[in-house]
Amino acid sequence: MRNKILWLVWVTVTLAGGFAVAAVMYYGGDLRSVFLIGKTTSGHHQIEMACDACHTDMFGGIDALQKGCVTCHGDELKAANDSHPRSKFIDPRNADRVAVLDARYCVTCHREHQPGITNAMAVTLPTDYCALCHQDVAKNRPSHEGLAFDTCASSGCHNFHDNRALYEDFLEKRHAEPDFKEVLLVALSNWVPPADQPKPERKALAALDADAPADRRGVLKHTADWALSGHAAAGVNCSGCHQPRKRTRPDEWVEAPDAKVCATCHTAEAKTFTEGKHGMRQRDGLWVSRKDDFLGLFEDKGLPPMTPALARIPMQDNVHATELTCNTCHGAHKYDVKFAQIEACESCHADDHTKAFRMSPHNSLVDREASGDLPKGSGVTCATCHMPKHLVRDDYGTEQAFVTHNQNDNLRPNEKMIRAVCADCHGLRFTIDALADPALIKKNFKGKPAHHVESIDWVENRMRERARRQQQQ
Amino acid sequence: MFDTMRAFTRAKAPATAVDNGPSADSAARLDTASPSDIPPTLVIGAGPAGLRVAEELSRAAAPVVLFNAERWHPYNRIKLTPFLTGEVQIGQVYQPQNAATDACISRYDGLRIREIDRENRVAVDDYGRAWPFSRLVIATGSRPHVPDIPGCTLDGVYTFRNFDDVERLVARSYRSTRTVVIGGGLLGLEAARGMSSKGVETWVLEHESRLLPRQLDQAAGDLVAAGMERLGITARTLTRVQAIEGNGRVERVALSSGEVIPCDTVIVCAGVRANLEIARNAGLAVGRGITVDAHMKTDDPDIYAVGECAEFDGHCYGLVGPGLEQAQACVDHILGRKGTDYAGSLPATRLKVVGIDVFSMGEVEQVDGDTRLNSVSWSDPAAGLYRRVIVRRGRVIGAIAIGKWAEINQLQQMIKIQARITPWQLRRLRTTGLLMKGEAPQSVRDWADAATVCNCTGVTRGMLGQAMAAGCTTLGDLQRATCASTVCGTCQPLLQDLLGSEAKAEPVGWSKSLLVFSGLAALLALITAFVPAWPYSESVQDKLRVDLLWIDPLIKQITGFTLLGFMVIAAVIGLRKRIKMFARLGGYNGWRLVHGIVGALLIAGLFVHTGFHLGDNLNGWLMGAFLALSALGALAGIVTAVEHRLLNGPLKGAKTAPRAVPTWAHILLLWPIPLLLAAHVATVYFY
Repeated sequence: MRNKILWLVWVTVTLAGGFAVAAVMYYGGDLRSVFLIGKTTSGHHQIEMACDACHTDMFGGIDALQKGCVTCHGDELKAANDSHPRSKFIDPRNADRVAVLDARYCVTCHREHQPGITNAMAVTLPTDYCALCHQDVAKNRPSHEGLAFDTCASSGCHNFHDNRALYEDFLEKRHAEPDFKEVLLVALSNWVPPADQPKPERKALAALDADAPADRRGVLKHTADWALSGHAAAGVNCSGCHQPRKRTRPDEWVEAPDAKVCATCHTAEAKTFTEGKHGMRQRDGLWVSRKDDFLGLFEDKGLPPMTPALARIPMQDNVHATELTCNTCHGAHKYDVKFAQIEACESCHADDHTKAFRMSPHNSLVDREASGDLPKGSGVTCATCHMPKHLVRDDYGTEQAFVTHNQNDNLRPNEKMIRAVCADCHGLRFTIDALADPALIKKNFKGKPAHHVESIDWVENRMRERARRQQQQ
Repeated sequence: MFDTMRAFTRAKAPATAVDNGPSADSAARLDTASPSDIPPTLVIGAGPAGLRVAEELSRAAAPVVLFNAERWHPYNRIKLTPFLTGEVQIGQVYQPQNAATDACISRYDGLRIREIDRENRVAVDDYGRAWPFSRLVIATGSRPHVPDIPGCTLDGVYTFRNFDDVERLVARSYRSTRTVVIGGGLLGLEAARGMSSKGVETWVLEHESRLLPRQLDQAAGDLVAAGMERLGITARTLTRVQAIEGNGRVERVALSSGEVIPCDTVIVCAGVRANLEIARNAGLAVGRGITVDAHMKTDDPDIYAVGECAEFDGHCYGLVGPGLEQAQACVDHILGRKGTDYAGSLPATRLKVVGIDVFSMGEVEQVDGDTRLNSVSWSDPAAGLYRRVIVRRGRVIGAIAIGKWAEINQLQQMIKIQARITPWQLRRLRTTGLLMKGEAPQSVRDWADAATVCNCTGVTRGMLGQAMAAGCTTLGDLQRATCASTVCGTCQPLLQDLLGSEAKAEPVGWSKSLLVFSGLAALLALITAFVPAWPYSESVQDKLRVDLLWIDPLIKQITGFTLLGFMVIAAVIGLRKRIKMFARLGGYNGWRLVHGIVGALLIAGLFVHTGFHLGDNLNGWLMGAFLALSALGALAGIVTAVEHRLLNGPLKGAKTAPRAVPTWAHILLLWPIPLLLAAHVATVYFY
C-alpha cells in the first residue's frame, strides 16, 4: 500500500514537472533562466532571457541559430567586407575547407553559453584557429616564418571577418603617414547638406510659438529649454512630439513620448541605438514571454530598457536602476548635444578609460575648441570615437549625415575604429600601435604606445623588396 | 569485648580466607595492615539486595559476613506465592548459590544483629557477640504493616510477607473456608491467589476505588478485578474494614458500610514499613527508610543501606529491581570501583498477577488528576487487553498494560529514557493498539542492547550479549554471570532463545566483488564531484583534442545517449522483484553486482560526457542529483558488502539492516532523475 502511494506520488510529480518544463519552454517567462547552460557572453547577456532572439525556431537546430545570428549581425558583416564570407564556404569546391572548419555557420566558432572556451570576440575555438587552414602561410610570407598562430588575431594584424583597416594594400598606402596629420579635424563634424539638395521648409520657432495647450504646459523651464533646442530651431513644436497622431487624434496628448516618437524623424539614430549595447533590449521582436496563458502565469512581456545594473563593466554606484532611453542622455526638451557627448557618458560609466578622459589629450582639444583656440570640429569627445557621424545616402539619393548610436559598432575589434575615426587625425602606424596597447587605452591615450605592431614594417620591407626586384629586372 | 574480637579473628579469619590469600587488589588498598587484621564487610539481611551485595563483594575477593535473621536459607520472595499454591517446591524457592567458588564469604542463618556500635566499629548480635566491621551494609528490608484495626490481634489474622507467614498460611489453607484479604495491592492479590488455589473461598477488600491502586488506573484495575472474578475471587473496592470480630478467633469482618462478612481467616496486606530500628538506634539519619546518598551511604561513611529499608531522595523502593541496582551502586563504592551513581529507579512492575499480565511503569498513580499529562489508551475488552501510555510534553513517562503486548520491551526502554513519542505513534496506539509500525522484534536476539531482558534484576540484552561473548554458553553460565533469570524466572525462555542459536550474520553473495566495484564507484563519484574540470585544449594543433569529447555536438549526443542506455540498464534491477520472468535470469546477488558494475561504468562514462564540468542550472542539478545518487548507491553497495562484519561486530543486534538507510536514500534520489534527464535532453534539442 505504501509503495503504491509512493509510486503514485512519484509519477504525478514527475508528470507535473514535465508539463511545467514544457510550458516554460514553449511560453517563456523568467523561469527560462534555469535552462541557461552557462554564462552568456557579454555581447548577448542583456538579451539572454529573450531566448528566441537567437533560438529562432523550436527544435530548429543549427539553421535556426544561424538565422538568429544573421538577423542582427548580417548587415554588419556585409559592410565589413567579410574576409571569410559564408559564400566562400557553401561553394561546393571548398567542401574540403568545410571539413576542416565548418565556417558556413557562425556557431562553429562562436558558441554561446560556453564560458570555459570563450575567448576574445566571443570566439570559442582555441586562439590559434588560423592554423586550421593557413599552416603554410610562411611559404608566401617569409616574414611570418615561426610566428605563433595564436598571435594572428591578437596583435593588431588580422581579423577573421573585418580587415578593412589591416589589409596589405591599405597599410601600403598609408605606411608613411605621420603620427599627427596636418589638419586635425573630425570628419563630418561640420557637415552641411550639399547646396543642391532639396531642403524641407522649416521655420524656426520661439517660446511664444509653443503650441501646447495651457493645461499641458507644465513648468516654464520646459518651454524655455525647448525654445533654445534644435527642435525649436528646426520648427518642431510641442505637438510634434507630444501629439504624434495629431491628424487622426487631435485630442491625444502623450505625456512622455518614447523612443518610437523620436524614431519618426531620427530613424537611423534610433535604429543604430537598438544595435548597440545601450539599446539592444529595446529592439523590436524581443520577448521574454509571448503569450497570455495559464491564468496569467505567462503574459506578453518584453525586455525592459537596459540599466547600468546589467552592465559587466564598472558603473557609477548611484545609477544602477536608471533605465536607458533617448532622454537619459539627451534630456527631455533641452536636447543638449554637448551634454550627450561627454557628461552623459560620465554619469554612468566608471571604468578607467572613462575616468581618464578628462586628463586626456583628446579632452584638451575639447577645452581648446571651447575657448576658441581651435576651430570648430577640433575637439574629440567620447561620442566622436564611439558614436561617430556617418554619411549615408537614402533611396532618393539624398545625402544625410547621422550619428550612429551603436556605441559598439567600431569596437569589435577596435581596429574597426581606424578607418572610421582615428584616421581623421592620426597616421596608421601610430593608430595600430595605440589600439593594440590596452594600458594606453586605459589611460585614454595619454602617452605613447608602448609596443609596436610590426605588420606595417613588414609591408615596407616587401615594398623595398619589390622595388629592388623591379630594379634588377 | 576486645577478647571477643580476638576470638573472632582467630576463629573466623582462617575459615573465610582459607586457601586463597588476599587478592592483590585488596592488599593494595589496605596497605598498612596485613589482610587478616582487616575486619570484613558485614551485610545485615539476606534478602535479594543484601545477598547481591554479599555475592558481588565476594566476587571481588573482599571478605564478607552475611547475617540472615530468618531461619531459612536466603530465599526468593517472589516464589512464595507459587509455593503457597503448590506450583513450586521448597528447593526452588531458595536462592541459588551464586557466590564465587573461592569467595571469602561467611553466612550466618538465624542470626540477628541487635545493634550497631559505631564507636567501636562492631555489630552486636542477639547473643551479645561483637562483630567488627570495616564496612557495614544494612539490608534489613521491611515488614508488613498491620493497621490498627480492632481485632487485628485475634487468632486467624495473618500477614503475607516472609517464609514464616507462608508456612503458617499453607497450614491454615487446609482448614479455612473463607479467607478475607485486606488490601488489594500486589501482595494482597498474590495472597488471595494463593489461598484461592487451595480451594478457599477468598475475598479481597480494597479501600481505594480499584485494585492495584499504585500501579493501575481504574479501567485496568477493573480488568484485573474481572480476571479475579473468573478465578472465583471476590474483589470489593471502596470497602473499608471497620473491625475484625470474633471470640478469640476470627469469625467475621465488619465493614464500615455496616455489612458483615463471615470468615475464619484474615490476611492483612496493607503495605510494608522499613526495618530501620537498628539504624535509628545507632543514630543514623532515617526518614521513611534509612537515608542514603547516591552511593547508598548513610551519614556514617562506613555504613550503607540498600533495598527496601533504604530511602533515596525521599523514595523507598519496594521492588527487587531497584534493590539490585542499589546493591550494585553500593558494592561499586565499597570496592572503590568506578561505577554509576545510583540515581533513583523508575520501577517497572511486570508481573503475572492472578494469571493476568500486568505492566505498569513510570508516573501512573495520579494520572487522571494531573492536567499536565496526556494519555492515550486503547482497549479490547473481549480479549482482556488494555493499554495506556502517559505523555508529558511529547515524552512518554509512563504506561499501563493489561494482557500481552509485544512492544512492552521497547516501551519500557522508551519510558526509561523518557523518549519522545510522535503524534502519529499515539494515533496508531489509539486506533490499532500498537505504537510502532510493523511488528515488534520477535526474537530476543533482535532486541536493542539497552532493552531489559530480566526485569527483576535489570539485566539488559547488551549485558547478556557481553556475557555470551565472554564465553557463557548455558543458562547456568548466564545466570551466574549476570544473575538474570534468578528471581522470578519468567525471562528464562528469553535466555534460552538467546542461547539457542547465536546466529552469525553471513556475507551476501559476491560480497567481495560488490565491495570492489562499489568502492570504485564511490571513488569515481568523489573524483567527479571534487576534481577540477578537465581543461579545454588551448590549440587547434594539438594531436589529441580530448576536449572535443565535450565540445563536439555529435560526440556529446553519442556519449549522452550511451549513458542514458547504461542508466536504463542500471534501473532494470528494480524489475527483478516486480516481474517474475526476470527472476529466472539469475539470483538477486548477481543482479546487484551487475548493478554495481554498471553504476561504476556510468560514473566513468560521465567523465566522457562532461569532462568533470558540472554544468549550470538545470544541468548542474542533474549532475548533482546523479552524483549524489551514485555516491549513495556506492555507499549502499559498500555497506551491503561488509554488512555481515558490521552485524557480527559493532552493530551487533541492530534492529534494522545497516544497508537500509543508504539504500533508501539511493532510491529516493533516483526520483528526480527521470524528470531532470528528460528536461536535459529536451532542452538540448529545443534550443
